Amino acid sequence: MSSTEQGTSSAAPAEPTTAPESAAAPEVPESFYYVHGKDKVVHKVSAGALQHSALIHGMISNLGYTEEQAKANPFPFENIDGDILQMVVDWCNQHKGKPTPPEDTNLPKQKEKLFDLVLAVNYLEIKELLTYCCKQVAMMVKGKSPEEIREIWMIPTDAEDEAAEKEAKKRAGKEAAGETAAAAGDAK
Amino acid sequence: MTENLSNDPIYNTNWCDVPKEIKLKCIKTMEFKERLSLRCTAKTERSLVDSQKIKIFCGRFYMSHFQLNFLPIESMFRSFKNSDEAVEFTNYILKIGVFRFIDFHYHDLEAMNFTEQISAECISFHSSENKTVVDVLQKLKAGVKSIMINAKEGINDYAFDEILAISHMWINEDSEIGTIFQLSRTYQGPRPSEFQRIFLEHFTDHIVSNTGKRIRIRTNNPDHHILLERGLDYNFDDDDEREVCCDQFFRLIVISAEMKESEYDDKCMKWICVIDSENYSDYDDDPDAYVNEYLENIENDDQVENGELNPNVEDDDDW
Repeated sequence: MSSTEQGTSSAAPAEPTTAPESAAAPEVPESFYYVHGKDKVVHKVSAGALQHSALIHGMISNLGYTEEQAKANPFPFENIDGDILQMVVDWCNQHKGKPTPPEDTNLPKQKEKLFDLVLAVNYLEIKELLTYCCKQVAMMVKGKSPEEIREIWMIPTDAEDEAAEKEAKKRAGKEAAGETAAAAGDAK
Repeated sequence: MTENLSNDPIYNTNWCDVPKEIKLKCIKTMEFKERLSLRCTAKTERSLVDSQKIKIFCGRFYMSHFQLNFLPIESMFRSFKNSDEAVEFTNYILKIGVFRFIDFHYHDLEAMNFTEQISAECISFHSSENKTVVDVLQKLKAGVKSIMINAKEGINDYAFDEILAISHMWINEDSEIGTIFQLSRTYQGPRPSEFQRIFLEHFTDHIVSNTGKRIRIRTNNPDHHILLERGLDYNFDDDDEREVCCDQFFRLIVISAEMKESEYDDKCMKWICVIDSENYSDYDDDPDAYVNEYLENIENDDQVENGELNPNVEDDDDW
C-alpha cells in the first residue's frame, strides 16, 4: 500500500517516556496501531488513545500484533474522509488518559464537517466525542425558527417529502414494468 | 479481519442522512424552544421530537396560556390562540414533560381534556373544579410526592366523603409510614365538627383512640395506624356561628402502631404553613416558638387575628 505515514501529535509522543530510576517496576512500552481513511493517509495512534473508540478497541484487544504487524496492517476506514479521521485521531490523542472536559471548543463549526464527524464518531463508537458533537449539532439551531432550521439542516417539507415518495414509487413501478417486459422478451 | 470495513457506505453530510438514534441524541441536548421549532419543520421530525422526554422544573397551566421553567435558567411563556390549541399544546407538554412541580389553574366553566399520562413529583390545583382534579389524578404516573388542592378562591365542591376515601385507600394499599394528606377548610367549607362526625362514621370499627384533637385508627397492617390530627384549637362554647367562620386544618398521617401519644408531633405550624403560607408561618426554628405553643391552647376564636395568637389558653379536646 502506498501511503504517507503521519506520526502522532505532540500531545501523544511516539516514544514512551523513560521511567524515573526510583520507580519499582519498569513501564511497559506503549503499543501503537495504524489507521487510514478514504485518503489512504496512515495515522499512527497509541493503544491508549484508541481506547476512546469502542470499535477499534474491540478489534485490537485480541490481535496481539507486534509493531511490525500493526504497521503492515493498518485499519482501513474508507467510509471516513481523511480530514475527519485526522480530527478524530487528534481528539483521541488530546484526551488520552485524561478525564474528558464538559465542553469541547475544538469541534468544527462547519455544518458539513460536523455531520461527517458525527457519523464517523458514531461509527467508531467514541461515546464522549459523540456527546460533544450532538451538543454542537443542537447549538446550530439555537434560537432558530422552524423555517430557519429547515434551511440550515436542509429538511424537506412534508409536501416535498410526499412528492419525492411519489416519484420514487413511480420510478420503482417503471423499473418493475421494464423488468417484466424484458423477462417476457427473453421467454419468447 | 479489517478488510470488510472498506465495504461500508460513504456518509453524506446533512441532518436528513443522520441515523434516527443520533438525531434523538441531538434532540435530547436541545432546549425546549428549539424542540418546538424542530417539530414544526416536518412530520418525521415532529414524531422524533415527541418521542423525547424533557425535564421541566415547574409548569403552570391555564386555559389561556402556560408558563414553563427549566433549570438552570430557561423559561417560556406562551398564550393560546383558542381552546383547541390550548388542549393540543397542553397535552403535548404533559406527554413529553417530566415535572418537578406542576400547577393547574383551571377555573369555572373551563374544561381540559387530558389525554396524556402526567409525570410529576408535586402537583397543585388552584381553584380547579372537581372534574379537573379527578381527571389529573387519574392520569398521574407513579412517583408523586405531594398533591395540593387549593379551593380557596371560590370553588367549593370537594366532598369530604371523597377526601376521607384517602384513608380507605391507604388501608387498602398498606401505605408507608410517613405518608401524609393535609387539608384545610375555610368559612365556606363544612364545619370541623361535621368533618369529625363523618370521619368517625367511616371508621367506627377501626378507632384506636379519640382525644378530640386526634383520632387514631388501625389499618389492615397491624404495624401501621393512621392518625387524623386537627391543627388549630378553638373553644366555641357550642357557638355554631363562630365555628363556621374559622379556618381549620387537618392532617392524615400513616404512623407506626408502636408510636406512643407522647411521641406525637405537636408542632402543627410546620405543616399548616405548607397549606396556608400567606396567613401562617413556620416559627419552629425560633427558640421562643410561642406561636405553636399558644396555638394549641386557644380559648376562643377572638384570639386568632392576623395570625397572632393569645397565649392564655387551655387545652380543648372538642372538635
